[in-house]
Amino acid sequence: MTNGRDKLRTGDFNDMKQDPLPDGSMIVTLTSRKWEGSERFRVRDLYGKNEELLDIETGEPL
Amino acid sequence: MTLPRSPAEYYRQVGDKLSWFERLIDDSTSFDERQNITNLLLMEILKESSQKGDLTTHPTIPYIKGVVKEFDLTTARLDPGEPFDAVGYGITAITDGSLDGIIVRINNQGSDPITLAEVNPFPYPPGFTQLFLENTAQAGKYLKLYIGSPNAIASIELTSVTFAIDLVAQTLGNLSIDIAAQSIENIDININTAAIMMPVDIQCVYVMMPVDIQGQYVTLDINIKAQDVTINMDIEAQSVGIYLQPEWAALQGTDKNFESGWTNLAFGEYAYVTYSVPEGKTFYICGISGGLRPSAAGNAEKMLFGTLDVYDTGSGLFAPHIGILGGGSIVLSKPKVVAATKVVQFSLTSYAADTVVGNVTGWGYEL
Repeated sequence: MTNGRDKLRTGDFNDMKQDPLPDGSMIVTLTSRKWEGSERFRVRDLYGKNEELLDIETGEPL
Repeated sequence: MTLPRSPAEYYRQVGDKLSWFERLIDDSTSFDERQNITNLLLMEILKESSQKGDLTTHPTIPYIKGVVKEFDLTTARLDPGEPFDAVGYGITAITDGSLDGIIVRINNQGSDPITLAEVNPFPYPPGFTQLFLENTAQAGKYLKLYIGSPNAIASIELTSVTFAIDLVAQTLGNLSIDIAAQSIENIDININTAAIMMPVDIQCVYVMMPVDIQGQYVTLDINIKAQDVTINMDIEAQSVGIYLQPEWAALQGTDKNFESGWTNLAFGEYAYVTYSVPEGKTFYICGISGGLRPSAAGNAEKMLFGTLDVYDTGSGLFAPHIGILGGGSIVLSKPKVVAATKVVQFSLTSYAADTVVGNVTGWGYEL
């Protein structure tokens, strides 16, 4: 798992933005007042049976 | 006769006891050797016994029947104390007043003072035959001294107790007080320190707890679960913050905000943002908002209908479910609770005639 997805799983964030992409995947961006910067990753079928991590950190395709 | 303390001394004493005939025939050698064997055996026995401590002697303390001597404390008894006869090996003091200022001296007036407020019971195995009592005046109060064997200390039954504890400490790591009483009239706690953390857990039928806190900085976390609560608060302070839970969560950093923006939403399509509540956490939803914007300038005058929904897999309900025109928001009067591992989705469905851009946000806090 990426650090960003770890934070999503544990709830270690304050703000989450989900930007849908034309191919059906989405970029998830997390920020928090307790840590610096932001965590981004691209995922398909978030929380679904076929969840697939496509990219980490940059949000760009692997 | 002085007993020999060493083998050399033994041989010297034995030599002194030889007759002139034994010395003449020099026939004492075999006798000495026989005695020497016995002597060595005895010395080994003494040596082993000494190492085991079998030869240690203890003073014998006879058992005596205890007596109780009662004194009226109304009048002070001054230094070096009032003498009275008492034979015993230990003292236990009982009073309905205070042991402060009550001093006992053993056997003579010049002996060291025993402060009974600090040492009670007081065992004294060497024993005493006379005591000297000194006390401050306590009108109407009595002092009973149980005097007996040192291992026959009187048990003290506490029927009426006044505790006055004055702690002066540089650091006091932990002070646990567990009181189980039918009734407690008064507990005065006066703590003067640079910083204090004092968790208080009170579980009883009726609680009345006046609290007077005077501090430069005060954080007062109160968690009350009761059928009926009356809180009277009189606060004089330069600044006071009283927070509802969502506000407190924002202050503590446990608040959560979600947002998603979608383009080209056709009639019946929806924008959404999804979150799965982590293990061990509970998510409290406080509100949802959303807005629809026309995709093209030519559609600006059209009616942009839509709905805002909060759905969670725990309840299985779309609640709240509100209709909007162009945009809207609702703040829940009570949080919607989503349990751990359940998934919540904030969504905005477009019922506009043309494609639109939709943004949806949701917020709450997680504990």
